[in-house]
Amino acid sequence: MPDNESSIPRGMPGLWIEALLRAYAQPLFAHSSWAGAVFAAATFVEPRQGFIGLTGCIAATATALLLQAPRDAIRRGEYGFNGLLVGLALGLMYKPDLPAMAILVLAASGSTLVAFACRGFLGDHLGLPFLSVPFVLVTLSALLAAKGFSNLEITLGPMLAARWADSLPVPAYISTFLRSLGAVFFQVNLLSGIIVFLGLLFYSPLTLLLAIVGYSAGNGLYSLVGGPVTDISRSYLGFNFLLTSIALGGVWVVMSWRSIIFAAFAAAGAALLTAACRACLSPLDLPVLAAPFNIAVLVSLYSLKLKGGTGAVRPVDFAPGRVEDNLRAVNARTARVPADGVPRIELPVRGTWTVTQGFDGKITHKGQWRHGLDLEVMDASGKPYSGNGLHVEDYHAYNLPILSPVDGVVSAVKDGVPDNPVGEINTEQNWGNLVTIWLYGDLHVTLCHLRAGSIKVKPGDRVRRGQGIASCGSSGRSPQPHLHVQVQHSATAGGTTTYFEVAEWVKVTPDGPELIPRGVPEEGTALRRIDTNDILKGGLDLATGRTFKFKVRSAGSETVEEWCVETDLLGRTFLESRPLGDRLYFSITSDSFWSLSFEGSRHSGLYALFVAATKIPLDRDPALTWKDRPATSLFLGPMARIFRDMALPFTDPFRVEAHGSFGPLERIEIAGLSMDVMPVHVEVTSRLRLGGRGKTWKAVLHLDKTLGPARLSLDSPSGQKTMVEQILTEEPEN
Amino acid sequence: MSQDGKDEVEVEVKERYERPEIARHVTGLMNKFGAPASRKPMTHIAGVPVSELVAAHGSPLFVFSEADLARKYRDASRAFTTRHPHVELAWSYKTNYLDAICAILHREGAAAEVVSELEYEKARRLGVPGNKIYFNGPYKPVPALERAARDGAKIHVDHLDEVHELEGIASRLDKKPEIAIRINLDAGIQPQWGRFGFNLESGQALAAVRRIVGGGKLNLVGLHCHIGTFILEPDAYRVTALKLGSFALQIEKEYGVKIEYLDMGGGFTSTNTLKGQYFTGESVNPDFDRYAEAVSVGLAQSGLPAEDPPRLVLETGRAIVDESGYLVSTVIANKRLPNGLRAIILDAGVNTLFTSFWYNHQVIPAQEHDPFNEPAAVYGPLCMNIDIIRPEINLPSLSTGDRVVIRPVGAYNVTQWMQFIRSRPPVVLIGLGGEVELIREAEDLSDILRREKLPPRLSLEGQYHGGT
Repeated sequence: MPDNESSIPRGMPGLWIEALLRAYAQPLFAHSSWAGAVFAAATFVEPRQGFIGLTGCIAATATALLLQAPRDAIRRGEYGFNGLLVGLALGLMYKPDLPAMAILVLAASGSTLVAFACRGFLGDHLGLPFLSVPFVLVTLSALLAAKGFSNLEITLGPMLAARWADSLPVPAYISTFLRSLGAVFFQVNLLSGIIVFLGLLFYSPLTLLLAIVGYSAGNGLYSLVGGPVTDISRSYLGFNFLLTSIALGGVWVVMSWRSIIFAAFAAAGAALLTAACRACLSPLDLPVLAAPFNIAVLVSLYSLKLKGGTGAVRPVDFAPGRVEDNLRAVNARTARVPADGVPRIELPVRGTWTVTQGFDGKITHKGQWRHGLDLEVMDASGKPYSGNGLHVEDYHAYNLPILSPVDGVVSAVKDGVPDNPVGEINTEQNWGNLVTIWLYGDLHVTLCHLRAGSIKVKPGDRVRRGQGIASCGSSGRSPQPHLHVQVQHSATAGGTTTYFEVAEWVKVTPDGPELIPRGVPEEGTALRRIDTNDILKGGLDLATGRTFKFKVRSAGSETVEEWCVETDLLGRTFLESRPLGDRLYFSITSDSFWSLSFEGSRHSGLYALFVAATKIPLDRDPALTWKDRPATSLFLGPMARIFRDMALPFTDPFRVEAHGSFGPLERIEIAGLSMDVMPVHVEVTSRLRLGGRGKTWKAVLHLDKTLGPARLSLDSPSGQKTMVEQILTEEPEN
Repeated sequence: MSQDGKDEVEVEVKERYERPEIARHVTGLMNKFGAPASRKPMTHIAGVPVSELVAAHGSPLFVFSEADLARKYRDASRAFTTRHPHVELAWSYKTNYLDAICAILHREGAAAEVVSELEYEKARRLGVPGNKIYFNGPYKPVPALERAARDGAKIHVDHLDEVHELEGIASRLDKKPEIAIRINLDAGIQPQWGRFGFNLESGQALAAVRRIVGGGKLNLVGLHCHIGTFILEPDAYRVTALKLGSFALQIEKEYGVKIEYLDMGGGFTSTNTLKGQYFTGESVNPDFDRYAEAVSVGLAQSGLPAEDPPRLVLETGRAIVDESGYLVSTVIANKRLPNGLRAIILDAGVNTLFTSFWYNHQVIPAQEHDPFNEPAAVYGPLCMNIDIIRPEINLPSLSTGDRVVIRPVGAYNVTQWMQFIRSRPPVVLIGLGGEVELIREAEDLSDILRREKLPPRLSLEGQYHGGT
């Protein structure tokens, strides 16, 4: 997830300001300085408690700086927020006098140390976030220790703060909810709750929705089983329910109606845990704090992780951000790549092959082996052989190179099974010669019936996509030369197969080739890999550091934009348009160019490129056509975007689709230099799923092999036309 | 024998004894000389009756089958693209540059390989963009080079004089033309072609690279090598690929120039049978798969990266078009030669069928015939002793007016045919749906006269007026 770009300056003062503000945002999983500022305001309703909280936050952040924790993590407030919570919790009980402050500073600094330890154990070993575990451990220790100290003075200040707000006409149920929201920051007054509520409403309405769901579920269970109502109304433990719900409903899990149900169950579970924790801790006269939330979330996340990503509830597999952003990112990605957990392979052959048996085939792809593909080469007459077809050598597929379909490690190899005479099968050694490649988890890709002696890899070898590993043969249960591919749950020959998809292949039909971004080719489909086109490859060779200059005519004005290719810390490549600062994030593989997202003005030349290059397959066939689902939100107005954000957990109300094709090579002239350019035509339509007239963007991009984007035009649905032409400043290189 | 003794020479009158030979007639059984020569007549071409073709377009008549042509192109494409990641087939114009034939191949995805400005313009006129043209040949006039450089065509340099010319053009145009150098090398076969390009083994090729890179005005993107024609030994292509690949790596290492493509030329056989070839071409000539396999083995042996190697360019001509071409001809006369051999005279000879100088074409009757064959010489209609289609071939008895189909004739005939004694016949194309379309009209006297100029002083008008 992209971090929110902030206008806070870099350097030490900037780092401190941002680290502190964002530490206040962290307890509610927010990633924004302004949301942090709002929540901070809520903690200062009782200024002394606010002061202790801030001190804790500073102490924890300073400790992290001293320990030289990663600056990015400090900047995001990841270390400060545990110290903040320690401070707020202590401030709820003690006056900010010297002894209390001494304990606070020690405990807050300690929370950073514990956070380090938690990051090592939970993060590195289990792949889990450390949440507020450091806060819980440190605070419980501090409170246990404090029992024996007589110089600490109990305060009632927080209880008495902003009592006037209690008289506001808020129904009791809502009031308890708001107080529970405030209790996330150990605020016990209604005013703080209202402030947090408003902050959350503006920052992330879906988070608020999850909070309501969680609170209702936990509270509901409490009332159902007759739990002590004071736990919620007086002890303010309800925040555990709502935090659990937010974490599991939309932050670490992609929000959907299923995740909402899951979150509700988890919140109810957290309620049960709360009662259990209370029973454990009350004899020691200790508060429950956020222990139930931490236990519930960590256990749930770890179970989800072990299960893998294929179920109804899908964990977020990147650094999570705002609930809405997670959803949008996953939605944009799943339109283009298979759902997480679905293995994706490349076509393991060169040239055009035909699927002779697909998934759930008629012959052998049945039962536990139903997910398999058989591939053969057919000639122009539709035959798999020349001559009389009585010898394996007559078959076009025989001895052709077989490539690794994935990046992985060879997990099994079998060789030495002779090719069968045509028409005969060897059921003793059913799978014949094979190479099995470990993908990840328990997933392995197997390529079978290879020619004996042709296998070039051995177990343990690392192989890359497209690397030649063997030749096609007819060993095992193979009446004639063909390749069998399957993805299975073990490295053992004949393991149970699992569903997989083939990424980025060209379907060869009499009506012309069509790019299939992902999917399972059906029986009878002729298909091939993308065959790189020099002009497109050269024209989209956006190596980091390359710059282009363009004349942009848009909305009646003419400007000059300079586009620079850059790579950020996270390895994301983008074009930055100067002086505007617009950014187009893209990805380029040997197969395709993809525009990932765009930040900036819709009138800029770079935006025109974003539309024209949503996706460009780098294929040589001028007749190729393709479809793509570009990032929907970038084709919507501001209101439509908010509407979509709200609806996205349930359904995507909009459908944005791009259709692309190539034009014949054109001769154009720029500044007296004539060049043959490849036109790429893209039409993007955005419409409400329910119907109605859609909007259409039409873009044409002219690519030159060495100059890159030579010319570009975009017709927006508003009638605005953007024309972009490269300014040739110097000799074209080569 | 003379009685008066004047003649001292004895004249023998008794005939020499010849041992009688009795051969048993065997039909339908194998003998050690192969199957009986009697074959089925070829009454249809691509589903269209030969009689209909001749009725509509006359005889002789060239017939091309679009289906055969497309199938062969796809075979070639399949054989190479299933083995190599980046392949470009460039249609060799000189093999057959009829617009319709070129258009079919370009539709199938072929680039163009041309060897003269005439062919170049023909390709451009058809709509082939400059960057889809490979420009070969030892003679490319400066204006042609300049046009190709402007268009972004790939220019294959044959000699250093051409490098100088191209550098001049590059300066004038302020543009770096994309070039390849043509290389000749020892691929282990005879004859070894040495007259085109730069020799590899002697270091000439490397010197040329050094000169081109040093000049800095040309963009060396490819290496080209065409080892010869009708190469029956696929291993020669393995050796060529190995040597070219290694050379490309050497160039990259020593000069930092990345070679984008390796052009392996052509020279693949069709199913025609060369004169002097013992077995028939149909039974022994290698197919695309064997050549492609040899090339892929050679490239792998050269050490080029397997995943993103240079593009492989092939200038296949004959092997793609030969079998799609048929020549329909008519028996004009039967006669018996002094040596007893039967002779058949056709209305098409070496003027029309230039390739009969080097192939033993199949000559197949186009109508039902009796099953007994007799050796016969097949001659053309020219008043020239060399006009021989087949010096001797087993044929059933044919009558005047009978048709024969001569095949494969798709390559080199409709480019090398002569306007000699007789004018050139028409060419038709049988489309994928069986439709017959005229793709080149028959020539007549006007074609010959169109370019001629008779000075008025030589006019014969009024010279002949009746009497002798």
